[in-house]
Amino acid sequence: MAILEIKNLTKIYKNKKKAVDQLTLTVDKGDIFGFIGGNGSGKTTTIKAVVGIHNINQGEIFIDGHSIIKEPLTCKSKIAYIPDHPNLYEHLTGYQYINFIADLYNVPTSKRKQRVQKYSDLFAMTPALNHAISSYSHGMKQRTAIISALVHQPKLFILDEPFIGLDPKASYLLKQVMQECVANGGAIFFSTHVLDVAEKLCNKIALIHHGKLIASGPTETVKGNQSLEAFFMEVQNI
Amino acid sequence: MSKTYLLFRIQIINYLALNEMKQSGQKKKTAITLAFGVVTLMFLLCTYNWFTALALVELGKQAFIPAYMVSVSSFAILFLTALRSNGILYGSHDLDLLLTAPIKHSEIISSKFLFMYVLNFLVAFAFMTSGGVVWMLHTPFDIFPFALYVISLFFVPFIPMCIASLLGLCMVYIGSFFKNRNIFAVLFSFISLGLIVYVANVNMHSGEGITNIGVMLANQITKLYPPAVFFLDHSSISAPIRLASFIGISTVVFYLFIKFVSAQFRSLNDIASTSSKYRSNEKKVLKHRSPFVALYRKEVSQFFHSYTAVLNAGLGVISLSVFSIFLIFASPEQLGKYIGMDNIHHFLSIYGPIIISAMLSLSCPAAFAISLEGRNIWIVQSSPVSIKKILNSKLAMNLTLHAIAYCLAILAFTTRVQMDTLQIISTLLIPIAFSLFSITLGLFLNKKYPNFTWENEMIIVKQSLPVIITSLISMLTVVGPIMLHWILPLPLQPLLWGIAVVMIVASAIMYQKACKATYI
Repeated sequence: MAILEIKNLTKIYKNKKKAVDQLTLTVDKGDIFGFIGGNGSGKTTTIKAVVGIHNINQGEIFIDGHSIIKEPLTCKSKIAYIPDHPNLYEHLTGYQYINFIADLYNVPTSKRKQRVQKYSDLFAMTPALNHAISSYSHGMKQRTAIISALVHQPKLFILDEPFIGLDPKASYLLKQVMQECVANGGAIFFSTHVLDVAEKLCNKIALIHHGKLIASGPTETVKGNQSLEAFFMEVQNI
Repeated sequence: MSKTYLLFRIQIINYLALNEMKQSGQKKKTAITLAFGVVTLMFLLCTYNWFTALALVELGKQAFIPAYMVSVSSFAILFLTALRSNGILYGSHDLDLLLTAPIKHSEIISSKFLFMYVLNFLVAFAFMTSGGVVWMLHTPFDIFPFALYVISLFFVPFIPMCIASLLGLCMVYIGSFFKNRNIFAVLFSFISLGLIVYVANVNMHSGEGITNIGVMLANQITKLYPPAVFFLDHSSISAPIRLASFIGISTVVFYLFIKFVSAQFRSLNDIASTSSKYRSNEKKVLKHRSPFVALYRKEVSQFFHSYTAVLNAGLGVISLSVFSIFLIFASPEQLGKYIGMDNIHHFLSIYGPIIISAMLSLSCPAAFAISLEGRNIWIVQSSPVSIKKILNSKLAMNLTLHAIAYCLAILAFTTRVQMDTLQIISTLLIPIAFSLFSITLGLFLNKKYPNFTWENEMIIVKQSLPVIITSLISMLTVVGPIMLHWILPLPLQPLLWGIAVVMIVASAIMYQKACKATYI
């Protein structure tokens, strides 16, 4: 069953640049879906349209059957988004920030305590969450953003370049969390430049080039006999 | 091209968003409106000083014009620089980049001072040019003193800039010993500025017993700003020597101060950028609140953690609170005596609503509340919270600020000033209309013209289009009825009620329009 459906998405910026052109793809429950493309190919624009940050010029986006245009709040309550640069409220402490996000998603106190405890321990952030975010490294901010996203247990986890700035242990843990989310009936949609990770982790991938979808489907089908890197390079030379 | 000039050029391009202005029609419109706002302010300043200089001419004291203009412009520069020097000098976002580049600290500091100098020169220009023209028109022609006056205009900003930056430096240093340095910084700034104004005021009033108006003026001018003594006509020392001394002293003070700051730059920045030692308690923190309360608490915390925001947008509310407390504890008669007004009860009962409204309108963080989200905007954009709720939290934060000062003001006016029933009702209700209007207007404009890509809060707090337009319109709503009352003359109370009704309707329309948006 589809948890994310993008139909004929077109996004044109005010400077007339067509960032995404007639993009159509589907993410089903249980998918770990890798969204691959070069710099400026339209990955982040697509993601921002899906999470309700950008409006769209044409097409439709459905999350769990709800339209992001017509029912933005219902859609947003089902997703968690982590951008490539997790700019968080620097004056808050980690705990205050996570609690703020939990409030916005109406997470009951008992559940939020249990989840914060679980994920802050898992990502080795428990002592650091007492400190102001302004004192965190990039990786710590990324981990705080991940914990805050997990605190409301989203059906769809959308991540933009999630592995940038994470140390090997945190990367490993994030992959574990992704698997856990999928096992619980959720889905993951993430963009990445790390092709090795995409190849090993994703059951489905989509490749975007100059705003147009080049290929989409099960990883093995899309890349064929060659490596994902070779396939990617082939597309870049089109 | 020297590195100092290169850095200065980049700051100008970045600060004034020159590249963005060229990019699209919308940005161009913004630029034109901003330029219009700045030109209007400059025009108002020039007009004010023109009339002040003419008043001195009427007293037959045109010889005091240069000293007066230097004194007042220096005081204005001191006041304005004290509010923004730290945002430019220490802890700015570009420091990591600059400190790793092959640039000397002295070049960084010089470029930052050059940038501040250019901004302050415009202030000096607005004050001194119009006054100077009046002086030249009413003084027998002599090219030498006139030329010296024009030359000295370039040196006037030096000393007040140094004093203001020294204050900022003290604040950064002393603040490093405090846990919550932003609250300390805000308090320190207000106390310092309050002290400067108080000392200047006391000094200026100290010559009131003097019967010779010339001696009294000289006394007041030099006590407001002592270096202005170089511009007073002393027969014992010739004008060229006096002005050459002023230029020499200003230059030496400025040069030595830049040298000192350059030497201490790294350690001062370390102090300014050291992260807070603040710790929170998990048990207290992880508590369920409604989305609106969470957003509101975040707004309050965000505002009070921005030194620039509190200092600039808090000015009106703090001034009104101080004024009200003074009125509660001292009698209105004492206030009247202090400001030289006989019938203070009559004045306050008539102008009370407009005084409260004017001060509330000065504090409008709503005009930059959306932009203040900066690069964090993705958090609320992707959260399941309606635009209306986000905007309401920002309105509520601004209303809370106003409510504190409003309650104090109402208490002061209703208990200490003799007013009839209609005047009491006006004092109670008219400021509410002004407050709602300025806040809604600010938020509406910020919703329409947000800026999330700023590097320095100063850009959105002081120089952004929504802030400038809101200030100008708020100023017009306050000055307009007073001018109509004085010039036509129309009765003030009905005029204020009429404007209040228009404001409430306009606020409702702007609020509805802003809340209808699907994207923020």
